[in-house]
Amino acid sequence: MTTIHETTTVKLTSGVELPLIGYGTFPMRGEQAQQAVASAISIGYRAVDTAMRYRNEEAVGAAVSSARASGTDVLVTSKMATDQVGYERTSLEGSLAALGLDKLDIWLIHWPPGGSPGVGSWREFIRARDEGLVDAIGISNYSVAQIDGLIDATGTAPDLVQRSWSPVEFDQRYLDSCRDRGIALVAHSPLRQTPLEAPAIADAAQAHARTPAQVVLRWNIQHGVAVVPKSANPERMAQNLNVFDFELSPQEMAAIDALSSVPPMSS
Amino acid sequence: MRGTADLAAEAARVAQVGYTAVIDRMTPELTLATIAANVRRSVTNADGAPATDSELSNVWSPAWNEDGVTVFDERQKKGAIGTAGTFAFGITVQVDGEPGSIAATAVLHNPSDSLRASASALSTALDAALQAIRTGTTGTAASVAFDESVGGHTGFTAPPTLHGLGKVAGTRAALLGPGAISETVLREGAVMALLAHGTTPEGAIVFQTTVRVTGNGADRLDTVPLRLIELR
Repeated sequence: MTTIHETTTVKLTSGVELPLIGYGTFPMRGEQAQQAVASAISIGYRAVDTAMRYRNEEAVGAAVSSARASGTDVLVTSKMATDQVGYERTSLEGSLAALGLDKLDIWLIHWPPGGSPGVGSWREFIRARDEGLVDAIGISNYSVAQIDGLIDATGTAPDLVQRSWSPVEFDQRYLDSCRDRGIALVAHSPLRQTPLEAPAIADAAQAHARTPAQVVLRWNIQHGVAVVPKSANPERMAQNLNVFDFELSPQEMAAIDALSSVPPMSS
Repeated sequence: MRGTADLAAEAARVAQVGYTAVIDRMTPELTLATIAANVRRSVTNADGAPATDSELSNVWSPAWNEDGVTVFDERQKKGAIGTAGTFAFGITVQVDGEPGSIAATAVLHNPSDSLRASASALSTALDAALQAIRTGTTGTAASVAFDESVGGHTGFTAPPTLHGLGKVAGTRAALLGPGAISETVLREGAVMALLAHGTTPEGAIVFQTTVRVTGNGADRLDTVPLRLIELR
């Protein structure tokens, strides 16, 4: 397989190398989640995304622990539920216990609590990182203003922000803002709102002999955005991972960017 | 066809989905209408539906709802939720005709010590009630445990109340608290929704959970926090 871009990870400020393609686990639970994660790892995924809210940390942890026991390194992201403000350390300990881990690779605040940046929680996240319980910390579903609220109050920028991100949600200002602050952007739900039949995507798919979904994932990677697509279908799992051996042209990228429905001045 | 026990657990799960749709996306600017729309979307995606039929509803709720979402502050029924006071809300759903419900209380500011203390007292009292529930006891045991636990707390504007709603001979009925008409013995496997309600000068505090009675206690069917949720 010819690799055009050798880089398959993005390096976070903390030093963690985050794979550009991770495996999303919501809303799978129980046996289905465990088997799906095990399949994903066997296919080649090296990053798994879960959350306290997903109620599947035990299942995800079981698959990850099995992989690690056989020498396969898998990075795990989990997220603190919004209603755990004030109980951050208890929440982290709960996630670690459920996952069967001593340390979490990446820990995120799942939603800005009450629309606020959640500075109190962020201080606890920093403390957890400094004490070695987590390697990298970040947030999910935050605006730039909310991110700046954390930075202004603590001086510590998140390693990454995870949010719903797809061609129709593309926001150059948000992307630039993250880049300027040294924050990696991770896309969840990269395919859910995407019009896969749109000519910009369909034409690129035909030109590169790829699926529309692969084009969207490739578009994200070329923007430097990591993605965590979820699929329980082994064939699609493999397709989602196989996006490192073709390249979208600048014109193709611009055409997909143009699918955005985000007003120019938002962020 | 799913049995009542499975449906009850499923309804509790769907109610919790509705809860997360409220709590995770909460901002002071939201209105009840927007919240109800978010809940409807999430609950429908989870294969449930908001319970709008009064037969399925939180029949004891003093402030009925919009589309399965109840708010306990009259002010919040019309305008934005805001940051002042408490945001006490309930979610009622149904799965194949089986009701499921939760209630929770959040604040979008740094709460006062007195509000925290009142919430803690109500939470402790509800826990005392839960500890008193087991097969063979009556709802009165839970009511007594609740009243004894919270009775000494002075932060409420009136004595807090505990409601318990379940089924007697297949019909929904109050098993304890206001509206309970008889000393109903709790049977193993019975499903009961317990709601603790107190009013403070800063707003209502409401906690609700659904439990299944066991031989030596009661298992919760949801994991909604039964304490003040501080979204700040």
